[in-house]
Amino acid sequence: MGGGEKPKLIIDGKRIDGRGMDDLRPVKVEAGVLNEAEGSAYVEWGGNKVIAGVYGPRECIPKHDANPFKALVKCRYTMSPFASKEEHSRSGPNRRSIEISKVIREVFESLVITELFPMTQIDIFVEVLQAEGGTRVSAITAAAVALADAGIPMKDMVSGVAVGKIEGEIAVDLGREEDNFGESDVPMAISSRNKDILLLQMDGLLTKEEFARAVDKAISASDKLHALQTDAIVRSYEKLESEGLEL
Amino acid sequence: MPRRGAKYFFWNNQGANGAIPTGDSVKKIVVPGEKISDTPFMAETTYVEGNKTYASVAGMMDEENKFVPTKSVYSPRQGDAVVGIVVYIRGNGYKVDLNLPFEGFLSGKDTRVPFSMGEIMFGKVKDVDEVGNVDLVDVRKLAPGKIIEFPAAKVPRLIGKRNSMLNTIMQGTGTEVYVGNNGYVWLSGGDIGLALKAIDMVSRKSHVSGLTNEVADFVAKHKSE
Repeated sequence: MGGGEKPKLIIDGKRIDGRGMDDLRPVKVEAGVLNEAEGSAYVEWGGNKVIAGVYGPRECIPKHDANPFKALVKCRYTMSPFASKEEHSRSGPNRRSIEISKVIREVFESLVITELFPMTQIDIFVEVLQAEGGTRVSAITAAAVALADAGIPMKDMVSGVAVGKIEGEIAVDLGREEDNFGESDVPMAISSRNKDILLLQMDGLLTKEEFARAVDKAISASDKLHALQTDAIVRSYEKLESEGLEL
Repeated sequence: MPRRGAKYFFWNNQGANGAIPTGDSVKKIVVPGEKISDTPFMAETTYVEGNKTYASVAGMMDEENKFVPTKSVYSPRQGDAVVGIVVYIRGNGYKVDLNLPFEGFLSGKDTRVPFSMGEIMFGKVKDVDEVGNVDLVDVRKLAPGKIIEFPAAKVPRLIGKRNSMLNTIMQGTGTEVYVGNNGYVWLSGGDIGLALKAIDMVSRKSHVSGLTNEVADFVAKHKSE
């Protein structure tokens, strides 16, 4: 992964792309971007471009997987062949995408009120069009907006953010170089109201104190992301209203 | 963090406080997980936690500070009026497409009218079992017409108070319209194109107050052309 010489990640207290330690990359969220999906969202997060579509609840396939007490949440994360510098010869399931699909599914299994739709499944499809580090958290942020857009009952909204350690300092929202050459990378998904941590993975090492600081920083970053997600949902009503006016 | 082109932007972390001006009134948009009441009450689109009520879908607060869901998944209830399409004929009845994960069932005992494949009916939900299977009753056959999907959460808006919206559209365009709670809408006769545009307008502007008059003006204006 990555390869090449390790660049200097912190210069005069600024990060490689000029951000401070607690700054996110520019994030743009858009809801309702697909016509045929029941709910959809598009997220541009720095160099990440992620599109999410939600279908369902619909009949569970295969039928023997259906649960008579609740709906199944299914997720498919894929990265396009043209998404990044590294080679992705096929976008189909591979070790990495299967893992990420699983962790995204588990985030939404604990949020969606699945008991309302027995014997059905809810499909979340996430496609990464362009990748620059932190695609799984972008995918979670997009999928949450898509689920809200589809009207699927959820206990809470969720947004993801990666926090890590670069050259001994805790930094929020790692980019590609920081991810490849930093000491540690901790992607987290945090629910908006209760601040429940629904995803927590860790690459590299952190001390206990560093970890506590990382969680605090992730929580304050998730508040900013929640405001952007909300704004996207608010704007989707305006969009709906203005699109219909041409006659 | 740059502010990126958002017209209405609320930088706060207390959840959604986005308010969009809609005509003369300002309604507050609610996102899932947002508190809508300090007292517990149960509805299909809310849940209760610690004696407080939270929204589980996106919606808005109306003038009386009541939560109105604007996006939701239809779950059938006893007594709902639905529009359905016969998709399968069994010895003892009919399987009916109701825009749900599963087909509804109309028992041959509950209807005197024979149906054939693809025919459209307007009926009532007799019963819903615990996994969501629907039985139908009181069905009426509808002539071949146009069926569209309408967001189920906005169906009350399309019907209006005492059928006001529906009557406006039907009288203005001369089209016969049947609206099912399941989101299927059947149309036939008259100026269908105009009726579809009016229905589309209701769907897109369902959060605007005074919409019935707006639709009436719209229909009247385009009818004369």
